[in-house]
Amino acid sequence: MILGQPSKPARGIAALLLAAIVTAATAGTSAGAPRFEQTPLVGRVLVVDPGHGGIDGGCVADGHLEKSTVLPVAQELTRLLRAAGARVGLTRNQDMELGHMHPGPGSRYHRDLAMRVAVSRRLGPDLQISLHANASRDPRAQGAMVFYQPGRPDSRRVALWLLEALKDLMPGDQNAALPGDFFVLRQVPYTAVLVELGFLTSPVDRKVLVSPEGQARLAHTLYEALVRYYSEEGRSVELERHAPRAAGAAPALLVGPADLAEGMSALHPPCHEPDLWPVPQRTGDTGFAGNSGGGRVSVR
Amino acid sequence: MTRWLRRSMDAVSVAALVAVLVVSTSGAASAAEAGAVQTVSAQVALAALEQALRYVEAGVPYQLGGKITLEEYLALKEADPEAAATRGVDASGVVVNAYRAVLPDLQLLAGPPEQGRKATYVTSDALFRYNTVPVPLEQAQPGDLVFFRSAGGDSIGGVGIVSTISGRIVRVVVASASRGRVVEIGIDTQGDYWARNVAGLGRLIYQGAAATPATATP
Repeated sequence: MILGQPSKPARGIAALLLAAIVTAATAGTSAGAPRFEQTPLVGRVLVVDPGHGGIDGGCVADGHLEKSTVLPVAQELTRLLRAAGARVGLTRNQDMELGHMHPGPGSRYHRDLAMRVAVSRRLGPDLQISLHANASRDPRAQGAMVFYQPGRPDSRRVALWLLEALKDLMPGDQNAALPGDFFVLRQVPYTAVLVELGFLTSPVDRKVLVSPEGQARLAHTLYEALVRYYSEEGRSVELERHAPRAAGAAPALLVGPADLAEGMSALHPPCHEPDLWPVPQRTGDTGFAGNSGGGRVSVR
Repeated sequence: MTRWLRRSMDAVSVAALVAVLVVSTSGAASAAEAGAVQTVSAQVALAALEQALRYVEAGVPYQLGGKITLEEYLALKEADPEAAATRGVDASGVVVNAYRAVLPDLQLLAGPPEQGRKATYVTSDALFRYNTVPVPLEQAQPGDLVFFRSAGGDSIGGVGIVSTISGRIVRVVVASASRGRVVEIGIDTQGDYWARNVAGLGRLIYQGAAATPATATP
């Protein structure tokens, strides 16, 4: 549950009204956590947004689902941030999609994203960080990517810091911080990034993405990058000197139309299209296969 | 005591805040994004249902990935019955064909709108996610779509068209893999099957002259 360790009545009410839509709460004071006055996260408001959920599994590879990969990372990241004194909201804290909580109009896809944005905007955070896992037809495609709103230097700086930290844990030819035109980014007026933690379709990335140890390391990596970001931001350092460099050269980090095109095509190309994306679990439209259940279906 | 109270209050006020938010925003963000989202009219939906029922009458076979139209199937059956027996439609195929028979210029989104990928045929999952608005059971009409969960429950694996709703029984036209053809079945909406396998109902989104505003739908 989100609000530290609330009592049973509180838990019941919150669960009843809101399921997993969660909001800012001051941090707990678990043993060993940094003292608030020592961290640059004290008083910061952040929204952590694990993508997909429920009927929306996101990308699939080797039986592993994107929605199940990003949720534990988001939960651990939230725990760490709160322990460091930040106020953190989670857009979902269980395996559910959010579309049904939004009155619409629009498709389920839009409602789910609109609900995430609505929750986030209500909290008005310093930073919104959406977590996803990537997929590619090419199993060699690997590495973390971070997207930010085009034309937002603040978001770009956060993206660069996150990538700098992530590329050691999730190295690969796709490592880049890129502008990305995504609903959850363009619909918010504050700093926001969308992190593709790695490629579920890469055997190398997948080992980290799906294991509890790997998920914890991802959360710690993001947390430490945010601590460093807020520390350095306070000192107004020249961030470009710390900008990450892709192996050999830096073209992937330059902002431009070519990067955008590359980023867009790399993001989630085939997650919901079995006909284009022959992963074992989804080789095609399975039709209506479950109609032999005795009395469960009555045919008249 | 005070601590408990404070936390309880936090939980309540937070929940109330978001509850208010859900009502008050009324999808402003998505409305702006989605533009004027329109769904098909009741007349169009009914006409599409009639088209789908013709597949049932003709006994069009189920075929994984099959997209044959009724006219193509009937012509092939006339010319070469053996060949016709090997051709058919899958779940999304019959639904899209039925609607396209009524709306010849129907285009569908294969992915998120910002990617702009339109297609003549899309999967049941893409119909569910990008091409329909949710409809509660109590507001469902003939021609609305019924979506079935995939085996893993993490995506949509099939789709059918509502034909009639009578009490707790919803009748659905669907290309059935287990029955091997397009059939009309009845499902008890209070039964286990519905609870476990039906992910929801939807009304097709359509931009065109035959559409009616989505404000008429939930």
